[in-house]
Amino acid sequence: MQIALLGNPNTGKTSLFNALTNSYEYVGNWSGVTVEKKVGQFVDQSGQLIDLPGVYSLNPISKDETVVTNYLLEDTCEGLINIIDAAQLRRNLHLTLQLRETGNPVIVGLNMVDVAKNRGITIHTERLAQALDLTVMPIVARTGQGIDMLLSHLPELKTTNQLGLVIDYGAIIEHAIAKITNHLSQTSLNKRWLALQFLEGNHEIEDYLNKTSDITVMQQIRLDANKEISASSNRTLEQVIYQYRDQFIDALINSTVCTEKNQTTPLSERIDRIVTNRYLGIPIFLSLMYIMFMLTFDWLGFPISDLLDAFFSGPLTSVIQAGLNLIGASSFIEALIIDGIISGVGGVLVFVPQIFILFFFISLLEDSGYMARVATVMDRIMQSVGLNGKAFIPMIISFGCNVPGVMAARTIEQPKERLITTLLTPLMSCSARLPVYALFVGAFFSQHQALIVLSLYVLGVVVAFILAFVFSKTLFKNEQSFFIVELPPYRLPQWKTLSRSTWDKGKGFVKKAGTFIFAGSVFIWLLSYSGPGGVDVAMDESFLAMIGGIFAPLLIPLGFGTWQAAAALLTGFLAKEIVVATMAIIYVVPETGMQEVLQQAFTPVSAYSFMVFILLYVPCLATVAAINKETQSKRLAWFSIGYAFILAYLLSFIINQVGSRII
Amino acid sequence: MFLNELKIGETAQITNLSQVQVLLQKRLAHLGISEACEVCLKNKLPFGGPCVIDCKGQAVSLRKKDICTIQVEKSCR
Ligand SMILES: Nc1nc2c(ncn2[C@@H]2O[C@H](COP(=O)(O)OP(=O)(O)O)[C@@H](O)[C@H]2O)c(=O)[nH]1
Repeated sequence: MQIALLGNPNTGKTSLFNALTNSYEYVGNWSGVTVEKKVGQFVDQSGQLIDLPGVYSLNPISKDETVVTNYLLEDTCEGLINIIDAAQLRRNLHLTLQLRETGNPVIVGLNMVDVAKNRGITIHTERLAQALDLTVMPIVARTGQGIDMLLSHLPELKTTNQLGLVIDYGAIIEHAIAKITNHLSQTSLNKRWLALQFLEGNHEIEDYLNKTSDITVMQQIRLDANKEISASSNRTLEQVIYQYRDQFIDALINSTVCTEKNQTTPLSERIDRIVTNRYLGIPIFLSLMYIMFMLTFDWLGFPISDLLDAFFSGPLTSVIQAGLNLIGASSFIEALIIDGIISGVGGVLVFVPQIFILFFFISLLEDSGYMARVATVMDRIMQSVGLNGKAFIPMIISFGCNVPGVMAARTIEQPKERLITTLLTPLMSCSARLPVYALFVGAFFSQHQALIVLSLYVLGVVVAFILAFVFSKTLFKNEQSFFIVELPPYRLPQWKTLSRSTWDKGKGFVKKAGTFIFAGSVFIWLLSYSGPGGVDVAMDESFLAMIGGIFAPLLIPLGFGTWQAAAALLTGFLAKEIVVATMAIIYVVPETGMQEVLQQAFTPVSAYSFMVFILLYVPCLATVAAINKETQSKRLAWFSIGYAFILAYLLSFIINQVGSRII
Repeated sequence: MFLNELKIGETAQITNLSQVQVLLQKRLAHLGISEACEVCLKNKLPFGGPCVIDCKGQAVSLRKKDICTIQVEKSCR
């Protein structure tokens, strides 16, 4: 059994998905467009649940919304769960009507009944169910109330033979629908639905029909209908169709919903008076970012990482060493495990706590509803650099990882602003770069650790803003811009959702440490262990030194023209964490710590220059792949590498040249 | 009059949305904001930043230049 979950944004879709499923995975690459679709197993193992992005309508405006329409066109499922927000019934029902028109069996999960009740809204579910000819289950996704009932009704979906809902759209439109359905070639989809969506001007439907039928006739029919409609009502087809649905919903609501007025100001509104306050909005946002930052680093992150580091290099290494001695491992194996794997993988794993703290806060921001406020508060600034407030959300997400950041840019409606955001999110300092900073500030700036790291984060944002301004003025033609964002009510985040989404984001990092970085460490260690002169050579005569040596001269003006730095940077293109793994392997000295060795190889100025270079130099492989998929353009993917490299080189050059003269 | 002329906290009824840019009209419709709805201006951010409006219990923020195209009429109460 395969069931898809659909609903407006912020209706509790994620909560319901988590309540209905116990394990899930992301699957990329789907029906041509690359999206991450989330597939979960139902808790009773009866089938799969597919999570689709939140949409208001099947007629998409932004790119993420096209996913839903395409799913309905191209994939087959046994039924749909439509989750609707009981407190915002009217708006949610527009989607429900469209889903019923597809002719797929639909079951409605009426969510947030607790919220509705608090607001004095009572919904007569049986009547609603009857009018829509489907099952309506009142639920509270957050607490799990009603979920069992919903689950037990799912198998019915397969056997119900729901007919597609038919709303009377008036003579002109009905006539046009009839004509279009006549022209449609054989299809398993509901023809009336296709015709209606086509009349509404749904581009995805148009593209789909274009593959199988001749749409010029249909376009003519639409044009005629549009003329007729606008002659009689001064409105477009789309608006009139919307109106008919609205009337239908009006009647439905009148007969099923009872609202008592209560006069208390909702909590959300009171909070918003403060956090989106004219004067306090930006300071509050900056303070929150600062607290998040300090917890990730100074207050919580560094101490925990230090403890872990002490554990890895101390007890763990000696235990493993003793174990290896006991089984009589060869010195090759011992060196591989101790100097290669433990140094490399351990060097990265040390930062797991910090990365999880960061992801926790990002999840918290996402889940509480504050992100939409950030977009509002930041819009004025973003507008002045040619972007819109919504672009700030991908940027914050990018502090965790650039890949979801690049994908979050999809929610931006205008192509130009979306593209610029996609190209610039890699400048946000992601968690994979964090280990590099941590290592270097520990060695060179122990007095001002947090301040130095903060300066790098800020540098990334500032550079992104400047480039956004430049790009939007030069590379892209102007288009009309707008900004609209819904401010959902604040909701106290739930522990379960938070921990699940933190783990979701963070597990990639742990997994990478176990696979990619593990393999990388072994490979790099082998390169450093062997050379033209055989195996177990001095590090300076190894293959790694040779390869790094080729690029090292290029880096001399930047202050770190050593083969070690060059080799680390080269590997960093695969994933930025590997830089630390590589350095841990290269600079491994049993007696003294890595920090002392670093202090001999870098000066404080060249260390800062190196960190800036790491921040900017090229997006990691996964990010470049994501940019390539999102923009559908190899050229732009190369561009993202190219501009970043030039930028990094220039800035590091300036920092090193100026810095070394001053200090 | 236009929505931007309201004072913070004032309520009015939308009378005409046809001057709003087309994509934005669609988005407003998605959010259930259409003609004849009551809207309340909740907040204006400084330096010509976005404004927050409330319609049927949901808050939405929009740019000032777009709000200037939404025609409203103060409800006579
Ligand atoms: N009071 C209440 N809150 C809910 C309910 N369902 C979800 N929420 C909360 O609503 C917020 C948005 O939910 P989420 O699942 O992220 O919605 P999505 O954006 O549609 O995926 C979260 O903070 C949830 O905890 C519910 O039935 N009652």
